[in-house]
Amino acid sequence: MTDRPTREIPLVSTAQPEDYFQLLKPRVMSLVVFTAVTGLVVAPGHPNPLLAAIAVLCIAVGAGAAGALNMALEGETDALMRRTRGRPVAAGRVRKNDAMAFGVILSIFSVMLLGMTTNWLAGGLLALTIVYYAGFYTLLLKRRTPQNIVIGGAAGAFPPVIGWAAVTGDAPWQAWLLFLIIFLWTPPHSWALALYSAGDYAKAGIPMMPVARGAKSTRLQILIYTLIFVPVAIAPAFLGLGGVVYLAVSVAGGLFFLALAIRLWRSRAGDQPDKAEAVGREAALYDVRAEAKPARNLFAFSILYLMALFSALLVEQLPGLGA
Amino acid sequence: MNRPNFIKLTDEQVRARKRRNVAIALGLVGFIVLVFIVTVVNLQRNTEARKAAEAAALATVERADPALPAPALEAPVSEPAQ
Repeated sequence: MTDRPTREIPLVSTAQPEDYFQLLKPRVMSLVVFTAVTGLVVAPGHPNPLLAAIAVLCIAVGAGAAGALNMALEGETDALMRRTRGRPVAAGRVRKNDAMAFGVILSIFSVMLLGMTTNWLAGGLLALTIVYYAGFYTLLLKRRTPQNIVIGGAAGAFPPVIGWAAVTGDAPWQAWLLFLIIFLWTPPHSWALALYSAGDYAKAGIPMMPVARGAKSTRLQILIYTLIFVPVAIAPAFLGLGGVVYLAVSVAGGLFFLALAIRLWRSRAGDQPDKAEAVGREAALYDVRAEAKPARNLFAFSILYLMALFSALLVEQLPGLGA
Repeated sequence: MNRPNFIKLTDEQVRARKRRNVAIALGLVGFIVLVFIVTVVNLQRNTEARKAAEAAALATVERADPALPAPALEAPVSEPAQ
């Protein structure tokens, strides 16, 4: 049983527009926008630039709406964890029902506008993403299985497929290859973070892999997923989706990713309580014990690698650099 | 008759409500502008598509009727250079 804090909810809201903006998870949204733009640019066809920009905005707002619904549903749990206790609902700045209404309204508007702007396959995929993340992942998976992040990771992998569908009206295997890259990237990325935040997850009653199976098993699973992920990340270079730039970036980055995963597997990251727990104070996301540094390094590099992969695909669309 | 006992808002609450109202207004105006842009662009594209379809249909009809002159849409085949 988790120790849930009692928070005083004000009768009259003093929430600022910035609090509502925070509900959209802007950092996650920026990654969603980036991958969606990549899908949109890499897809064959020449969409109207104005409509393409509106489509990207819709995908961003839809992803933000899913984030708002997640925060509304997870307010009490978020309040128990250092990383999330400052979120608007967890901190009591925005009421749960207000966050829920905000998320639902933005979901409807973004899906409808994307459908009108591009096509209803893209609109439907965006709706599926929102329901998958807010309903399937947040309500069902997150508290029930240590595989939560593996299955739930699909929600974060949809944006390039939506971007592709917005241009062509279909979702061919190339779009699903981009999906697969993000899908397989998610477990090593999330578990690396969980290795040095396990205390928080345990306190909140969330069965993340280090909590449910232990640090040693998590480090091994990170390595296994990395061994599957890196070849898939390189695959577009051999399947006509990426060119020489992509090949260089994916191979060099992939080998470094693998080296970090091996170092993490051989380390003792996650075996000890994380630093903030040990010293009993707030700690920054990257402020970890010396033993946990391999986990932090992999977490940080995983973000860089994903950005580099999709940047390479974008760069190759520039004239003269085509795949 | 007793007047209902309304909550007296503090200055901070009033300021926060005003800022939220402005944000909602801007959001709605932005949405209207986006719908307008989408409508105009789609209208333009559909008009162009209809014109192209009509031209193609006309060309087909003209080709099918031998009494009519050959359609002007097709360029005459030039003689190969000697």
